[in-house]
Amino acid sequence: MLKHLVLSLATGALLAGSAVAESYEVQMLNQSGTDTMVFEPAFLRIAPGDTVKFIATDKGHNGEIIDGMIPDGAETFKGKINEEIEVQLDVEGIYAVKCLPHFAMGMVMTIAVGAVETPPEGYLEERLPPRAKERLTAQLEGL
Amino acid sequence: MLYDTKAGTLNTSRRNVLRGTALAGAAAITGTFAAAAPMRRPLSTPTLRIPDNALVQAQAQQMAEAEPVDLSGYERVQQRLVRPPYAPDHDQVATGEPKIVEIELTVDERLMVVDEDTGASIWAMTYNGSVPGPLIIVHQGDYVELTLKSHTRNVLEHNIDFHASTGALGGGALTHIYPGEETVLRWKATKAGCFTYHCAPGGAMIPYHVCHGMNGAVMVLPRDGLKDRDGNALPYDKIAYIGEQDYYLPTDENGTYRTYQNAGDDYADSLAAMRTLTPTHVVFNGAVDALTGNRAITVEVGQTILMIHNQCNRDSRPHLIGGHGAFVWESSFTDPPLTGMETWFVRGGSAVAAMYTFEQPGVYAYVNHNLIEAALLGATAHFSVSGLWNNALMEQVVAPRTIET
Repeated sequence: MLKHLVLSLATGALLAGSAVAESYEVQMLNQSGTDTMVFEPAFLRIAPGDTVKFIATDKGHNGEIIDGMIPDGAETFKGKINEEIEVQLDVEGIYAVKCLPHFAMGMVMTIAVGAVETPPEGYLEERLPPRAKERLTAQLEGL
Repeated sequence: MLYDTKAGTLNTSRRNVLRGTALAGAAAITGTFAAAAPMRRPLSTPTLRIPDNALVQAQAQQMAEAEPVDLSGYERVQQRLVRPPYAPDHDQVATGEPKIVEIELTVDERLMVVDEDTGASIWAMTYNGSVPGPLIIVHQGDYVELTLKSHTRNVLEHNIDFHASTGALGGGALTHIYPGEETVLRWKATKAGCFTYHCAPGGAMIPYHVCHGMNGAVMVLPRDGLKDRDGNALPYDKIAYIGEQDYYLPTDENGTYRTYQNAGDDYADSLAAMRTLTPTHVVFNGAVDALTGNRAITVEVGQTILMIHNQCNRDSRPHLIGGHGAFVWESSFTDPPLTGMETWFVRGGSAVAAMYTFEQPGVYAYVNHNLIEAALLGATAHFSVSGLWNNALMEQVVAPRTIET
């Protein structure tokens, strides 16, 4: 049932000039320690052209970009519930990912692509569920 | 239209092809289709399509360009909503011109016991803390102006779809709120009748919220009140507001009902349980026995009761054991009522009003007359009726005794 959604296939890796693109896995979990509804890891720093795969360890989740919280020019993505999508992120910058059903519960993660050190102006000022905003704020400290 | 059907169709058809091949292969080996049945493996976890919000954004553009409406001439009134099975104060026949009726609903996610005997419980999603949500009553031509709030302590996103309203997914597209937020929606009650309302946050979250209790009813009365087919007024003394709720509670391998720490934690288990289409409980007003015994609805002989039955998700067939539906509005209040009904029908996703004047004292069971659901799953309420017995209607001529041979 695994489906692969590879964005901007190949071009990214070529442009980035890295010899080997790394592949990362993010688990979608109902619980981790005392936290419920989490992406694990909740923060990733990767190089342009690397891929991230969302693993449906627990059922009922998806991975998708939070509207507008993506670098300019980057392509958005949206997995279906229980779908294990793999995405290649080519454009440098900060990507915020949510699980749609559990967005309000704070099921979000941050992916920093490249050497980015600060979020864009007004990055967390859009309308966000309080728990999601709290966790995104904490994740940005990983920059 | 709202869905990414392309991906879903591909997915489904591929799965069907695979399953069909397996069945055909097994049938060829054994020569029977019956023997092929055990070959079927449980369905793999489905990937669910998620609606796109592009359509909603397009609608926002249309709204921004729409003509403003002048409601300055309307009187504003506030309706204080009350807990089921009770009804808010209201006039049966409207006084004066159409009004703007202000109401407030607060979303409250709370742990509720479904069945005291088994300890079955659910992180219910409620409007104002009850299952069903409170009954709202207005008259045709009135506006409902809803302030929808969500407690800061809640964890999920919610909204509301009023079947009585027109446009924007019944208001659902305009009312999505996160914990700690509020929104205000105004809609005109153009159709007279009883209508369901429910949370509909999108995709699988819709049945998930509805099956966690997030639904209720609006009654839109004709301005001149309820009438029989000849136009004679049909006033009532009391409303009994009954919300039928089907629950699909997850169980562990021993058949014990699972418990969860927070609202939303049961999401994946609930989706699996709902996919069976077999409810573990079908109850009136949130829990088994919520309206029976000393919690029965009390009535006096000669009183006329308007029974409002809401079922947001499944068909139901209310029956008053020992009584009748003297007047039943299965469709709208604009159509003449059905009369002398033994059992009436509530289409899943609607609310129906039935009127009866009690003629004998005693306890009446009000059931979903799928009696398995009534007796085994919980769909029973009681009317406890006081007054004098009328032998002209019924009399026990011979008490049970041994047959003499």
